Amino acid sequence: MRSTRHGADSPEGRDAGHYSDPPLLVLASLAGGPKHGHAMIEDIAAMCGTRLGPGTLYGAIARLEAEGLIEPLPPEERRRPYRITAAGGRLLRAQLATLEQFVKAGTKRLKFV
Amino acid sequence: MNGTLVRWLLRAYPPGWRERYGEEFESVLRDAPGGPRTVLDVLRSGLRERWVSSAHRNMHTGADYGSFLEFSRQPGALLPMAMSVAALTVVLVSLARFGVPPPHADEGAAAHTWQLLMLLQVPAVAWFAFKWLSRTPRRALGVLGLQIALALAAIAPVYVLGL
Repeated sequence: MRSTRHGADSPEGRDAGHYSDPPLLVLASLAGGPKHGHAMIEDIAAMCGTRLGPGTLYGAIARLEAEGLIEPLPPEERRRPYRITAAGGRLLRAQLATLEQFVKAGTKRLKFV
Repeated sequence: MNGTLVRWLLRAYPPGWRERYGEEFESVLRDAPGGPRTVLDVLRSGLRERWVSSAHRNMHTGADYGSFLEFSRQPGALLPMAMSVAALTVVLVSLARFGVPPPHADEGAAAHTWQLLMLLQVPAVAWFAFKWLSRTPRRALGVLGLQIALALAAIAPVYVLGL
């Protein structure tokens, strides 16, 4: 999965510090319980300050569903909630463990800056 | 976001995607702010889905080249068949006009046209087989069968009547 810094032209830009890896953010959001698209956008914004656009969100949802990492639940009116699968949970755990290592190593190195 | 813009933006996505996600995506779009950032995000994602969908069709051959009839209508499939039909027509018209020529008679223009049409089919059929057999074997074999059957139909009167 890809990790990018979101949009900012300069490190001090207004998006600096926002983490944007849409599939990982969707998995992390659904780890807290099933949600539909709009609820995911709000949850992710509250979790890390990144507000995914609807196109980006549904691109990630389609990809994750195709890979069996999330699954759709019966629709509620026009909204369809999704939940994370066991495979999705395993992948999220592995990705977060890698990120944790990265954060530790990066933070340690920052002491020399 | 207003309904007209939502419906217009949905058209950026391929039909299969719209069928699967269209309704719920529309619901999310209606709740989203309609600013240029959202519009660009949706358009970019829609184009990406179209590209993914097209790449998927090219990768998974077989059911994705349309029906057999559509597949067999492409120029590479039609050309050899048209040449066989033309060659057969040349033979039949020549027979109708001049009857069966005597043995060892000089080859006329009709004979040369028939030979040319049959000869030029060989590279056309070979190109078709080279291009399509590995991508969609069943359809390609079906079209090759038709091409060969029509070629045999064009050859048959020449050999049967000893032209």
